[in-house]
Amino acid sequence: MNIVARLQSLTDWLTPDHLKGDLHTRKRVQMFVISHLFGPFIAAPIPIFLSFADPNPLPHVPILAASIFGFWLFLPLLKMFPRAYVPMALVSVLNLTFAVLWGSFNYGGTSSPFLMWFVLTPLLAFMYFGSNWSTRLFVGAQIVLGIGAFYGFYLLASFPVHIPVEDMVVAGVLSALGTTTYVFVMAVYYANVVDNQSELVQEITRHQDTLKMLTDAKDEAERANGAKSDFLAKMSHELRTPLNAVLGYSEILLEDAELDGRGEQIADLQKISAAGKHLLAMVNDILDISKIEAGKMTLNIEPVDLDALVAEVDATARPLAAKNANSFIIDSPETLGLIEADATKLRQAVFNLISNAAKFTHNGRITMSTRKLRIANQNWVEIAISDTGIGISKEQQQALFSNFTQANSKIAATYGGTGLGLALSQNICKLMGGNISIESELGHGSRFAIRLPMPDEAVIEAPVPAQQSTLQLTPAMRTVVAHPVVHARGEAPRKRFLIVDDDRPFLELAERLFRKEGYDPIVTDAPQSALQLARTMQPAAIFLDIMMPGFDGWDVLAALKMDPATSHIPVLMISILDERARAIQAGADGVVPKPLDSSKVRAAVAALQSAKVARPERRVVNG
Amino acid sequence: MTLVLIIEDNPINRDVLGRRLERRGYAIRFAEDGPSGVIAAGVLMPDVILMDMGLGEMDGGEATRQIKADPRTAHIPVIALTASAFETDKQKALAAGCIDFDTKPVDLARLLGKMEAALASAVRQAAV
Repeated sequence: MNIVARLQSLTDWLTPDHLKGDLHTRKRVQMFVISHLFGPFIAAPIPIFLSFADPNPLPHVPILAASIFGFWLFLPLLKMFPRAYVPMALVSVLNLTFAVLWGSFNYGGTSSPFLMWFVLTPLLAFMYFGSNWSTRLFVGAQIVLGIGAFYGFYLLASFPVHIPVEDMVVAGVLSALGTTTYVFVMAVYYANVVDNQSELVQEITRHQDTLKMLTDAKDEAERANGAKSDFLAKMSHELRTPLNAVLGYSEILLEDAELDGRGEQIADLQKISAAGKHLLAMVNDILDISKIEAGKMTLNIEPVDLDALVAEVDATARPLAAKNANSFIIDSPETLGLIEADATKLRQAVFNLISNAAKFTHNGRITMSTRKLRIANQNWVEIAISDTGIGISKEQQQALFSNFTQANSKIAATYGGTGLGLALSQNICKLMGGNISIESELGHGSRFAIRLPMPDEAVIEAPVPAQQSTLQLTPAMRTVVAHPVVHARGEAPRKRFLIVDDDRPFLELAERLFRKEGYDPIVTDAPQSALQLARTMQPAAIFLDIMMPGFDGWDVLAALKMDPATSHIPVLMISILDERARAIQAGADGVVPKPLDSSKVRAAVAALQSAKVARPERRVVNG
Repeated sequence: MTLVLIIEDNPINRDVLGRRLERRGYAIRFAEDGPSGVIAAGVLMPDVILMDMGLGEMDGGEATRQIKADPRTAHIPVIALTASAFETDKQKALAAGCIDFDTKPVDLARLLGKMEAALASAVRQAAV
């Protein structure tokens, strides 16, 4: 261990623990220890010289020596009374002043070579206490009082002469050496501190510069992200406007071509329309992704009847799944009931998985299976789509859920698509508190499973079906939850509509149109049987012709509305004339203008749907 | 015949939506901007108004507010149409007094459904 390290450990040992915490205090105490350790050594030659040079040294030389070597006493005292640092340092400075003035008083007075030791008073005082106002006042007062008293003594009295000033050359040289050594050491120390501090300042400045650069970069990134969101919103708007024209005009042309029976054109126009719809779906996907990234995606959480959803998927996804000669199987053994979710977005995610499965599977099998799970005290529902298609390797699975990524670019080229669908579906499921997981083996197919949290039994209120909107539901009735859509496995319950019209060709057309749209139509040309049919079949809605011989549609409507078993069923009047006002006042829910076509059928069903959402309590006016 | 006023500044959108609705048996009138839309609503007294939200100086929201502020036209249901698909735009439209909201490109069946629902509710309102 070298001398510096020994010294360091000695000063550390002497420094009180409670003063080590603050860096500045520790430094001051260290300086106190070091100056008290070495100060007496530097000053020791003075009393030694005086005891030889002064023929009559008693008692002033021993007093001076006691004062000088007394500094050593402060070290054990500090160790013993660490809390008394400040008063001790105060006493120490006063002792120094005393030693200087005592030495000077006895040897030369105002001309004493020892006066130069006075320089050390402010140096050490500031070192022990730091530079504050009370220290400055204390030091200044000492200097003024000390020197003032000395000068006053010189003017009014005379100093004792133990050794003539001319004979104190050695004392002068020793004092000069001692004080300069002292100041030298302290100055070196201070220079080091200042250097360190300027390094520290530079370091802080560097950190502040880095911080500013990082903050700027973050702001810039946020600005860029905001600009991206704005851009996507604008782009989506700009793309939708021309798409409106593409889709709208192709529909007009398609209708004309269908009317005139131009088969070849029909096929081409259908392609334009399909491509436009595909483009629109992609624009919507991009917009959704940017909404999710910007945290602006809002979900419309409502009770969702999963059994109805399964049935609906069966009805609409079957042709999609069958595209590449695949068979489509639904494995839904148990009643699933209700969950809280965004129905549209959930449907979108399920369709996305089915369309992916259909895209990557040829002459195979696509299965949609559902089950309830209980994991970690939480009920879950799982909707899984498995296929017997090409499968996905482990590495490709990693990138699968990133935006704009497809398993590989070759696949993208062969199968098309933006690669957005999966990422979007995953994000949506996460927003609903669930997720999508994947199991797959290359060449053996894949299984994508949507899992969503399910509340404990019978917590969610059943959505009030459209036809019950006029019923006053008591709270007790609302809690009746389980009205599962009962259906044979893999067979969808179709929405049932009753159509009453005396015009047989119209009934045939209506039956065909409703069937084509995926509904279950019951038709009758006998108005008198309408009431009985409505009572027993409980259709989702009744389409009622106004002009029927012998039996006015209005009479049938009135009868339907009078009967409590049928009064809740929405009725739409079929009419050539615009009799909406009269129809509504008579208790009907709207009119469907003749001639009927598939878009009118869809519109009528959509009107029933949105009426279900938007309608306040319905007013039924009889007569 | 049901009279529909389409307030839309884009001529192609006007043409295509108008023709599609005409084929479904609606009578169509157009206005090309907000101020003339408000005037047309008062003069024509249509059964339903389809309002583009992204009009020029007076936007669809303001035009709807003016139509709703006039006691003669306040009862006419206004359906907002916009190419923007953000939830805030929907809220803005509903706050301005629109009864419903649909996005462009127009899905005709969906729009017809909303129109019929709006018309039915207007008749119900009038009956009250």
